[in-house]
Amino acid sequence: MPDSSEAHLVEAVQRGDLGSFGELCGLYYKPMVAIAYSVLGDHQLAEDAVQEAFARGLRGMHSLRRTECFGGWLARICRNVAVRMAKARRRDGNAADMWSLPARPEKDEVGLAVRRCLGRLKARDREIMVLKYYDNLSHDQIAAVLRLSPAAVHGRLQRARRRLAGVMRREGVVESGS
Amino acid sequence: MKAQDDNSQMDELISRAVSRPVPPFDFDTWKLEHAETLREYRRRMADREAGVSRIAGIGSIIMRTLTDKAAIAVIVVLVLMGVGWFLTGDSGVAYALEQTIAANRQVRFLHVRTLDPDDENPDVWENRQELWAELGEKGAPVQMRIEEGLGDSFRVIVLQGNLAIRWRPANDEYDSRHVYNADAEMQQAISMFDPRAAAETVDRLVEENKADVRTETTETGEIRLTVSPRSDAVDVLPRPWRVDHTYVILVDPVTRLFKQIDEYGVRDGRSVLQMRFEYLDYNEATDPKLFDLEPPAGAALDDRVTGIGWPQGDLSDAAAAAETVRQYITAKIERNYELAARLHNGQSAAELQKWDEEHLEIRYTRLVWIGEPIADPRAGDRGFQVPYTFELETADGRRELAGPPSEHPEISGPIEHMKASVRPVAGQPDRWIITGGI
Repeated sequence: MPDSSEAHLVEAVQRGDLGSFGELCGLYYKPMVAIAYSVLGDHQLAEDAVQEAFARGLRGMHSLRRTECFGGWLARICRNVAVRMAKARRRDGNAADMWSLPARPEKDEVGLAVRRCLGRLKARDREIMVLKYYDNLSHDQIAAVLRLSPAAVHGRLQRARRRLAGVMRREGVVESGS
Repeated sequence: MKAQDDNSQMDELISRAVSRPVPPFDFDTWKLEHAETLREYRRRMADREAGVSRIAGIGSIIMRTLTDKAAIAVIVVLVLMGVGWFLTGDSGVAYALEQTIAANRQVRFLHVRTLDPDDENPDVWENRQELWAELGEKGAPVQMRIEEGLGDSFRVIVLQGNLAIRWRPANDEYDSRHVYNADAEMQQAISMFDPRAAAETVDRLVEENKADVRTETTETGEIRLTVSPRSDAVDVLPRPWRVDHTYVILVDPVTRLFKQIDEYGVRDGRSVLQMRFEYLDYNEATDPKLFDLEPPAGAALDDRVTGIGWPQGDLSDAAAAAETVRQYITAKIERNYELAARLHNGQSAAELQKWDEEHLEIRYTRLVWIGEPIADPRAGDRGFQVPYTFELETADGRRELAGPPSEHPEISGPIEHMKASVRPVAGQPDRWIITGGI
């Protein structure tokens, strides 16, 4: 993804073929969950956000003119939905810091510490890191939703990784090594 | 616990912290949980197929309301069908289709409300939409009022002729605008309630034997019809009537007019009430304030009727249409959203800006090309489609061309032209406005 068959799927949805929308959702479900998770830091909430993003996507599909850009367009919707959910949670006092407070008692202290470090990254860096590691997405898959070339994905991942390593060192999660 | 900062250790730590196998997406479950979204999508597809001209904002609200009412119309049809078909009913109810047809010929005023049960509390009803319509002698609508939404999103729309006003009580905002093809849109809406037209569909369904209908008398003396279209009715049923839903209709035993229609769907294997349509008044004296287009004195009004559009001057119609698109794109480049909103019959300046900056996260940067306008009879005698291309900048700083024409030197490949719909302002033939496509 994306390719011409994906554009055909988008056009089919715009003509009224709902089954094609199901195929698109299947193609993009994992990266969208990763994107939402990068904002919310909660797996269940991330899946809820994607459900809502798909609904908004279907409602707005008629306005999508560049059918080859579906992935990036859907990612933007998903990001916005997740951000709104995160704001609402903070407003309700459910989470002061979505990335530092585990929803359930946390036994994996290192995992919690790494997530806390991810939470210190800029949203853009955190998003690409989660896209990479959430469900082992390929650079091509990441490129499709971020509207970047695979080479650019590689470069951005390297930079984000270096920044995360720096935060982890400062936080004492890892020791300076190689 | 600390680990060495090498690549494999980092990978392992990050994976351990965030990775999670994602199950495949279950589209069938998603569809069940997003019935209203699917309904809206199908309505939009149906409108598009019908070639209905869309008017951003008010138009979509109107059509959504009206297409909801299509369900009632179809139900009316099927009720009539049931009555004609099962004239005596299962319990020997003396009721005839012709009685309702005759009663509806006398209707000059309709007041209809649709209600949704709250998903979490089935005993609580949410008021979705309420519509009042005054009808002329032939059943054509003269004016209409629609109220919809809950809480802060509640709004009121009043239509008369080709003018509309919208009011959001939560922030006391009014906006007024032209509604193109308003007569046709209102007529189409009302026609959906017309039992005479509906009867034709009923006749067809009866002839083809494509619905089960049960007729009973309730304890309070109302006539109750239960209508279940069969699966093979899918080819003849207008949207949003569904073959997998059942519709229960109460008929006034005295007037023979419909009082209420309940729509049932199936969820988790059980029949669930999904929507209720209530006919609240027929032919009741109308409060003239219901259709008042004037906002209260001192109220803030976003007037999108006065002074909108681009002046034609000495330009030909085609040149004026092209110039309007040129001015619109230029206004966007200069971030003059006030002017852009005046040239676009749909969104306010604030809405346009929010759409570009927050939703799309783009910025217009350069006008590349305005093509030769093409006459568009769908938009009236003087309607045009104007091809265009402009450059935009995305949130990450990249520059892209929007609406690339295939013959433009910067673009290769057979890409369909993007075209803006442009026409004279309703009631102001010497001013031009964009009604869609950009």
